[in-house]
Amino acid sequence: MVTAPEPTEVEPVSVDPWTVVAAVGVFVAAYLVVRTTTYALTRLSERSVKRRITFKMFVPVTKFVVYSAAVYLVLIPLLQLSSEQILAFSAVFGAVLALGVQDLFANVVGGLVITFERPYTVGDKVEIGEHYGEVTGIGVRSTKLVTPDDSVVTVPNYLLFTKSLSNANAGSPEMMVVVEFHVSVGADTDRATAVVRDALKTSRYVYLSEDRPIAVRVQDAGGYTTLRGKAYVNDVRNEKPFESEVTERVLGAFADEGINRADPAVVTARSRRQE
Amino acid sequence: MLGELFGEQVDEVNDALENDRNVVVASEPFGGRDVVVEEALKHLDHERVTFSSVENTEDTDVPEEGVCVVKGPRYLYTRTVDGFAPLRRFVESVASSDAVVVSSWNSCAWGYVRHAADVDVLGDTVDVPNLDATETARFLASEHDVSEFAEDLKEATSDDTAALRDRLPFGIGRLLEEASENVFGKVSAASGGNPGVARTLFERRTWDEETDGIDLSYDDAFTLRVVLSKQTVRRDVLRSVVGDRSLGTTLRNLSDAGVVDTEGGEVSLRPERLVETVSHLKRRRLVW
Repeated sequence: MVTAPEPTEVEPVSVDPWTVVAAVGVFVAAYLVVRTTTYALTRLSERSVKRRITFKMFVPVTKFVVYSAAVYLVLIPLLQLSSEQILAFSAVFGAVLALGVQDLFANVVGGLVITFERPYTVGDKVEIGEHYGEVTGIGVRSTKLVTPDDSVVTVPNYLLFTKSLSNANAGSPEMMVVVEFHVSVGADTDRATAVVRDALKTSRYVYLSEDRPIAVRVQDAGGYTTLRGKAYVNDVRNEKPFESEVTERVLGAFADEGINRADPAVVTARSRRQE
Repeated sequence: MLGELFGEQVDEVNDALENDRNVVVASEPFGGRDVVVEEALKHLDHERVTFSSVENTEDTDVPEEGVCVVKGPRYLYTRTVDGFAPLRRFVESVASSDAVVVSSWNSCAWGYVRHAADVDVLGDTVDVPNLDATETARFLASEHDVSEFAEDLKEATSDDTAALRDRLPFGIGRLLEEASENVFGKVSAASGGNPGVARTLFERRTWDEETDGIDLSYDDAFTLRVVLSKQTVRRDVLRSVVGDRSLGTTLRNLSDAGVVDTEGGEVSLRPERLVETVSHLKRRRLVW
């Protein structure tokens, strides 16, 4: 006859007021350490555009390490949990997950993946699903983006697993920016190309090197000609000022030199058809 | 004395000349590139083409043969649409000539131009380095009466620790020089080893002068970048590059920051603030 094993008795955890105070103290200390380190890293990063993203990269890692250490300190030395209690805690934790906080858990796992695999980091320009902007913070649960319109978007970290992710600079301080112009079929394309090229390379925001050249691509769009100018900006934060400056100067030069732009109605109609 | 200190670079230029290759000699503003060129060509017949301002770039032709020294090619471009036309004409002229062309470039301008335009025909680049502390001391002693600093000179030029300091990595040597009481060490640290800057600091006795650091808006920093490339530039040229809207305010800010002098319609870089200027613009990624 087979007898079932005796269930193990799990001793109740005794929590005295001192333990509660100490636990709160540990979390407050962790919070202060995170805030101070984040502040210091942010200040350091602003001293050099080149190393800005490198310094900011340490912010989410610091958060993760400090908060993990705080949780460890509270659970193990303060509450002095035995292995049975940890097992019991895990079982309860699993049940809670199953009952309704799996989204939160997925976000936390997403946060861990972002911290260690680094598909993007603070300072990068990314597109996650339909959201585009500069990553300003990576938390345990979510990532904060600042859009070109200066709105702050909080994107849950689990979107990393379900949506496409595009990173425009991947940790580098500079990024490629594409500026498009449309000229009429009869326009002097060579001259228009030269104007776009000059506007790109003389921009106050441009970054040039052997690995970061500028390029202008001419494309027959059927009914008009498209010029796509590509260049790198010296700092991802200068993406929109660069686009604006180049556009202003190119359109000014087109007007001065009589280079006719394509009919906006034709361009819009074609764009809609392509969509 | 500078010619001797830059002996290696002079040899490189001579080597290019012997092999009929064009060559670019580049240094920081006030960094001694003209000394290298003069030293290399002192026994050679040569012609000179000098561009002294952006306006003076209509005739960009170089001679058909022989050796030609080109000074001030930084004025051959402006950062505007169509602003590279004189440089293009010059490059075409060099390409179609049999002359060996030695062009002397401000490295801050050259670092930009060589990526912005097709200038391969101008040849390889000989970079003129900055001096170390011992060389700075020897250079100043060769040009000035330094008897009042005889002890400092002796220490700077003969002490083994000076040589050791010059070999320390990560700019630690410069930090030690800054902290030292030796006048030549201080001049070397404050000038970053740039001979023209060292000369100015020494002549004006301003090696110990404290500055507030440079804090500029992006547009002001870009204007400073343009001035750094040209060393001296007319206001109307600056206006065509940076726009008219706030040029007056920008120049006032730059002047208040002590980085430029504005006089008689011209804006000039102040040599004594060159090290801070370059450092600031590198941090802003306006100089690469």
